[in-house]
This record gives sequence, C-alpha cells and structure tokens, in this order.
Amino acid sequence: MSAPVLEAEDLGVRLYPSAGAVHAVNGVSWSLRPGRTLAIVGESGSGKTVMSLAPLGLLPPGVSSDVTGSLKFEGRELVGTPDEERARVRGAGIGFIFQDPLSSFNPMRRVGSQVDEPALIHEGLSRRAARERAVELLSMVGLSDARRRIDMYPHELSGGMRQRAMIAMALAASPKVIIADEPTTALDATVQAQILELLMELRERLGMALLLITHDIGVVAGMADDVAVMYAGRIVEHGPARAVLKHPDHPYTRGLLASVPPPDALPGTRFRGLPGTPPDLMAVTAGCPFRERCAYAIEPCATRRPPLEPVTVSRDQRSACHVHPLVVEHDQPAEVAP
Amino acid sequence: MSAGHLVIESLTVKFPVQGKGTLTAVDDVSLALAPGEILGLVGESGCGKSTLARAVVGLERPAQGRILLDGDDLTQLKGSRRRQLRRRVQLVFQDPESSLSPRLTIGQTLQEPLQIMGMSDRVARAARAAELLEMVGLPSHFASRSPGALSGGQRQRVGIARALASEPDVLVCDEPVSALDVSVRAQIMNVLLDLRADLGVGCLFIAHDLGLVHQACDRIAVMYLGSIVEIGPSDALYRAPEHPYSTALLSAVPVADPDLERSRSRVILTGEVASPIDLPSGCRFRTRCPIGQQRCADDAPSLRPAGAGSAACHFPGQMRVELAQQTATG
Repeated sequence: MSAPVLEAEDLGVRLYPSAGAVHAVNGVSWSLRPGRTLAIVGESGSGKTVMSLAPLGLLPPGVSSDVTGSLKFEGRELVGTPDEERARVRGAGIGFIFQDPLSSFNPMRRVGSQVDEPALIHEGLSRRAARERAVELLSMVGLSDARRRIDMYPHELSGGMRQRAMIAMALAASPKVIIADEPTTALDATVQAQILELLMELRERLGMALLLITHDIGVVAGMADDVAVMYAGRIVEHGPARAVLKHPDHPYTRGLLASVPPPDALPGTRFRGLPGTPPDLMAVTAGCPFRERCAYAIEPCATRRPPLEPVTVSRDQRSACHVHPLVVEHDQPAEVAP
Repeated sequence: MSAGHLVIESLTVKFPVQGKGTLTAVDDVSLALAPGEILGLVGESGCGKSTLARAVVGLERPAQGRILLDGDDLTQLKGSRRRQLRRRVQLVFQDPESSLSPRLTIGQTLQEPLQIMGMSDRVARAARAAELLEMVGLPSHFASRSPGALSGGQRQRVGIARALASEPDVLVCDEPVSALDVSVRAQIMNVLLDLRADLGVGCLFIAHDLGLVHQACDRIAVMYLGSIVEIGPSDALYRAPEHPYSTALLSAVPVADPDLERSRSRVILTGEVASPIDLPSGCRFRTRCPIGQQRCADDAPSLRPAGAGSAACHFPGQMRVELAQQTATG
C-alpha cells in the first residue's frame, strides 16, 4: 500500500474566542492515501472544518488557535512549522475548494488572473504561459468558452461556473491533495450533481487524494472510500464508507443516518432523528459527549470517555462507544436495542 | 366546517429590472391547498418559489391573479377585513437567526402579535405565550430567554410558535429547516406534522430537499423558471416523475445508501437556466432538456394530466423511462 499523502496523528485544536478557550478538536487521527477519498462528516460545531484548516494556517484572520499533535504532508510535519515554509508546502501540494465560491474570489480581479496565480507563484511560469494554463484549467473543469470567460469578473459567472473556476484554481499547482469543505452545499441539486461528477472524474484522472468535509450523507455515499464521523471535536466512528453507512456502530452515526429520510419513507409519517441539541464545547464534561442524546447510554458513559476502538465484528471499523450496538446485535440478533 | 382552503389562481408576480425590462418571477401559477394539507413546493434557486410564498402572505403585490382563502380574495380586501384574513395565513422564515429580534425576549416576541390582535390583558398574553411554546415543544420558562441563548432548532421552534400566535389555518414555510443541522431537522419537521394532526394547520412547504419533502408532504409541486412544471401526489411524483426536469432533479439528489447511490444513473443537465427576463419560446425548460424536440420550441406545453398528477411536457414520462433503461444496462 502506498504511503499516506496526508496524515493526522493525535491532532488537537484549541480556539480562543473572546472569552475562555474551546477545545474544538481533540485527539484526532486519520490518514489519506493517494487517489483515495476520506470524508469527514459532522454537524456544525463538530470540529470538522477547524480540524482541516487550523493545522494548515487557514483559519480566518483574528481567530487565535493552538494546534497540537501532528499533521504530515508526504511525511513533512506541518504543525509548528514556520508560516512561510508551511505556505510553500501548502501552495505546491494542497488545493482547496470552499463552500462559497463568491467569497473565495477577489471580486475586483478577473477570474483568469486568480486561477493562474498558483501556477505563477509555485511553478514559476511566465505571465503568458500562466494565462494559457488558466484557459487549459478552466476547460478541464468544463467551463465552456474558457478563453472568453477568463476575462470576466467573478460576479459575472453563475454559482456553478464559479465553483468550477474555484476547482480550476485548486488544481492550478497540480496538488497531491484536494481539501474540499462543503464543496456543493451552496449549490442547487442539479449543479451539485455536475460538480460531484467533475470531482470524481478529476480524482480518477489526476490520481489526487480528496479530503471531503461535508454534512451530506448522500455525498459521502457517492464519493467516499473512507469516512470519519466527528462529534464534539472527536472522531466517534471511522472506517470504510460502505461499512459505516450500511452498518453503523456508534449511536450518533446511527442517529445521523436515521435523520436522512429514506427513499422508501411513507409520506406523512413522522421523522426519525436525534433528540436534543449538539453539545456546548465551552462546557466540557466527563464521559461520553453524546450520552445525553443517546438511547443506548449506560452507567459508565457518564464518567468514562469511550476510546475509539475496533468494532470486533467489522473489519477496519472503529467506534468510540462503551455499548457497541453493532456488536451487541451481532451477538444477540433477537434482542435488538432501541 | 373545515377552514383554510387556499386557492391560488393564475398568480403572476413581476419585478422591473433597470434598463432590461421586466422579470417575471412567478408566471401564471395556479395551486390549491386543501384544509390541513401539506403541499411541497420544490425548485432551484431563482425558480420563483420564495416570491410565490411572499405573495401568498401579502409581502409581494401580484401583477395578476387571485389568492382565495375560503372564497375571499386576499389581494382585493382592504382595512380590518384584510388584516383579519391575513392573520390566517402566516409565514415561517428560513433563518431563525435573523428573523427573531435580539432585543426582545422570546416571551415578548410571542406576545407582540397577541397585543396587535387586541389581547390587552398582560396575564392572558403571558399564558398564551406559554401555550404557544408548549405547542412547539419548548418549556414555558423559555419565555424569559433571549434568542441568543437558544440553539438554531430552538429558535426555529420559536419562529413557528410566533406564526401560530394568530391561530392561522395555513403556514407558509420557506425552507424552514435548511439552516439547521441534519439531526435537528427531523424535530422541526415533526412539529409541523403534529400541528397538522392536532390543529389541522395546513402548510405550503417550500424546500429544496426532495427526500424531506417526499416524507412530509401530501402532494409536491415542482417549479421551474416561474411556473409549475409538475404537480402530483408525493409518493407518485417521487417514484415516477413525469416531467424531465423533475426526473433530473430527483436523480441529482444523492441518497444515503452507498450501493444504491453508486449503481444508479443520473440525468446531468447541461447549460444554464434561461433568463426570466428573456424567456425562450415554447417550453421554458427546453434549453436544458435532454429530450427536447422542435415541437417544444414551437408550442409551450401546459399542465395536463400525466401519471397520477399533471405535468407540463409534450413527452411525459419519457425521461424517466430512458433513465431506468440506462440504470438497467449499467
């Protein structure tokens, strides 16, 4: 098996908002190999975005943070590395796609000059060669009439076209990894389908690895090889996407999946979901952070935080739960828990 | 007597666009909502669904058409009669963050409409506010809290409670759960289903999440570029869409089952939505339609019975059949 291109080990991020500190990410480990897609799934406040951006120095200005643990790109440590060096590694090796293409472009500059900027900086191309590269990149991402559109301003493109242009920008320096943070959340369904198709095709063709941050289980089902489910700053379940989505072990994963209306739902029937609200990270408590919303909770859940450990009945699947409902159901198929 | 029969008749809403003429956001739309019915309205951004919602609650003035509530035309009424009837159709906003005043407590927010309706007794108002909170599943002590102390899901419950203050027959919900976390959406959807079951409140439910709409609604209407292209019973439309746009929209939505998701075919639409300022001739979907023909450019299809509902297409069902063949042959 090839070496991981991006690897996190015991990664932690503390954020310092106006008052106090928030342990937004805690002890997170995963690895991403070339050509693979790892989806990080979670709801707001789960830490999925902070985990992916903070170690790379990409939190918005003004947000002060403290990163511990390790994040390595092709074996090179990024945590604690001076900004300038980190920017070099990032610029040459990692491309980014964000949720909102409009706010990711400079509204005052033409699209083409922004798309070719990484190539200009990291590959040392001449201005003319960079312009040709921009046309080539925009054509590659399916932007029709690219030669004319490179001279447009971002607001002159539709949402879908802007997202294509942002993907082109992410590809400009021929990165090994693309980090896509909710890449299709702001798009309409039919445009989302186009963009996901494009991402899959590019990954195939260019052999890139994809770190896909999303809340959309359907996107995970279609795209991901592996999935890590985050809750309250920690990974609560991790494994091959098919195993986790078909046979989730962690009660949170189960609740999250149950929240998605199934295709065979009957109109007018009540929705299944999770009770309560996501935890407040400012108020750290002992035990399992999910226990108050959990239908399976037992006594130790209040005092002891469950470690992320192998789910014995499913290969490569790990879950942070004292109960392990999947194992219980496997051992006692008649007594299905709630 | 069942109250709350809402009929939208040939509704058209236009906006002037500086230097470019007129934008027709809603074009000759007719819909009927039976008392207690939940009718889903789906479509992509810019299709006019929010404008339609705003027109129904009186926030946009239609260029043409009528909005009838139990026979009374809301667009024609004036004065106190208008205010009285308007109360019976209430809007629930998408974003509970910006639609609640941060300066008011939850109790004050809920009491405001009661005061406007003439409930002058302070004690009675507070009691009614507590009752409204209970209807949406919040404890009554939330009345003293400010919106900032609530989660997104709790704020949306308050938004619904406020809409219920005037005892409406119909709620117009514009993307009420889109801003909420997936695990919290179900709770809010159940509040709406319970209100229908307990009070008979009908709902015009606008959303882009088709899975959600399918489970919540009795019927679904699909909007494209200002007009309804298909309407039908929820399950029938979800399983067997007749219009090629409905088919594309449904095939575009990813499903959570990895085996199903990876084995099915999609209709990937190309091109861009036509401009509502300069509509194409004939069918307005034909510029992106995979099965469009010359006839579609010459002759605009009207809504006609197709399958279990109606579709505005010269070739209803054809796209669905082609897609099924593609999936079958892999």
